[in-house]
Amino acid sequence: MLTGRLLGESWVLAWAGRIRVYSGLFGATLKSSIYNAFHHRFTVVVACLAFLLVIAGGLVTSNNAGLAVPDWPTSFGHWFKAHMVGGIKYEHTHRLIAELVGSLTIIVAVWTWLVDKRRWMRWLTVGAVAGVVFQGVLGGLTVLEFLPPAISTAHAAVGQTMFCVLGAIAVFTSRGWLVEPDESITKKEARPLLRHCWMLIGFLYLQLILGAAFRHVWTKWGPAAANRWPAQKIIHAFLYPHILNALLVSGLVLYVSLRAISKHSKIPHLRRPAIMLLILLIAQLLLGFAAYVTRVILGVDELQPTANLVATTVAHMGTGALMLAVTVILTIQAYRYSGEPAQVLSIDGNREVASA
Amino acid sequence: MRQIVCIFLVLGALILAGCDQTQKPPESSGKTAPQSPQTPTVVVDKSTAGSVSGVISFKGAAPKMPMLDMSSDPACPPNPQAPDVVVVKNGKLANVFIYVKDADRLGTFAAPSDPVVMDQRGCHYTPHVLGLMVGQPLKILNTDTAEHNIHPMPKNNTAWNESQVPRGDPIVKTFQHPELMMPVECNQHPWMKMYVNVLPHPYFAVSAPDGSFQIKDLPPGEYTLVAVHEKYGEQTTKITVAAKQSATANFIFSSESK
Repeated sequence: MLTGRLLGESWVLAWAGRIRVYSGLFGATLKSSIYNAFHHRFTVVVACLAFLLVIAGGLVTSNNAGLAVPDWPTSFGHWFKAHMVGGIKYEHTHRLIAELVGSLTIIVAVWTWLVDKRRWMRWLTVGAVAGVVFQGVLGGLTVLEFLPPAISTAHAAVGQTMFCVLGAIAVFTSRGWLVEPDESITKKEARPLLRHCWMLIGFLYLQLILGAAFRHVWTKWGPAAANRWPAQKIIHAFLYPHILNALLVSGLVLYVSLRAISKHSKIPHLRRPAIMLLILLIAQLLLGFAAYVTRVILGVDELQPTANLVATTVAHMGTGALMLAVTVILTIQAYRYSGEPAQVLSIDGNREVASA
Repeated sequence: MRQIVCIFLVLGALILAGCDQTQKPPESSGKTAPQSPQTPTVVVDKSTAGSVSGVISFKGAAPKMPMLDMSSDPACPPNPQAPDVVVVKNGKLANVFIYVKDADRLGTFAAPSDPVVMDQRGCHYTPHVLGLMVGQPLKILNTDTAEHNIHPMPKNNTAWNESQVPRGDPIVKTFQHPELMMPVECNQHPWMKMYVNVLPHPYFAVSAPDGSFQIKDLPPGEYTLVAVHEKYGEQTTKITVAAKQSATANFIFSSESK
């Protein structure tokens, strides 16, 4: 799967092991010296802002406003000031939120290094900073290279990845994460769930890339822009595979969710994301259909983006981002609950992983 | 950590590998392109030159185009505006680009130094379709009180994207390669779109609101005449231009065209 390749599955497994080391060090009670309520709430705010940033990015693309501000990294030569009309308000707002999220991610990293002694956690926040910087550079390249679909699609995919990373950081700093689980699942039970979670992440990434490529090719070469690719060609190349992949994603969501709900119903950290995934799937299928109607059936000859097209497309993209993030969290929790602390401790038992 | 760095490096390499690797033509500039000293330019003998004229008609009812909502910018007209995509009046079609396809066999033509003017007025591009020669200046005005950005999306020429403040200094550009129906858009106002046609010879015209067009000073001979509309595609016809005579070529587009 793409995610597996991107993250390096072996590294993730090792990383998950570290998580188990950490969670296994404490008894059933919370290590109060680790949990920092302000730090955690701050990470939650940053994760929410990252989601807002994903939505703002979707509004830029859907309103065909990606080049409304011709320069980068400044907007018309200024960092903050811009005449917020027409397409400028979408593009400049997206940049302002991006600057805010970038700055707050740096604060998360510094704060984590100050209050959290978990080495992997510290480096995860450093990775998050590197990720948002990389994402910012991709955003700049989309502007300076006039929206090349490959870079714009990568910008969309990395943006949602960073939302997942910041969401995971919020989970790792939560009170619930720092308490040793009361329940556990055996590795034998966990294996099918984890395997299908990884498959789901992979197919969700494929779905994300196909959806983003469809929108960005449409915006760059489609009927409303350069008019170089006929609408039907873009639909055949990207939208039909997107719809086909939606069937695979739906099947995997059903399997993963129903398995988590039926077999691990006593574990809220598995049950809740599973229920959430089912709800999101229903919403996503309806939104996908609505986005198809507004763009492909009603919107091919539109001379400007309509409110319905923008609303359905952005909502569809945002729900997709939430599905990916919830699946990542479900996967992380599945790893956590499938751990056997005694065995894991024997690997890394002497390491000091918590601050006194 | 090393693995994280590797992941980002690999991702970056993949993205760069996926970028368009097409060779970019030389940068457009504000100056007229100099002609090669070795290539003699064609001097048309006006005493024998003919012309071609005609009318572009539209068969059937004109399609009902959605009105443009410009309310997102207070400096644009507040009321819904008619689009320029299909302009049919009394059965005649405007904004069709007509050109002589095989006129480049006549030789090399010198580009005029007079610019072709394009204006942004009422949050519309005026004209909606224009033609100019390779190397001929395109002078872009903004007589609006709104700021605009001008973003051509060429296939053969260099892309650029520049903003222009209200009533700001003109932007002057040239295009170095022939290209037909190059879209130009404003991303601040997504309804604003027009087409630039760049040819190596002067034998082109754009149909007027009454559908008429005329191409003058054409040396006698047989040619292929092409009419292109942004929505209804391309039509071709053969013409014979006799000395000092005007050939006639009419085109009929319909909603079934393309």
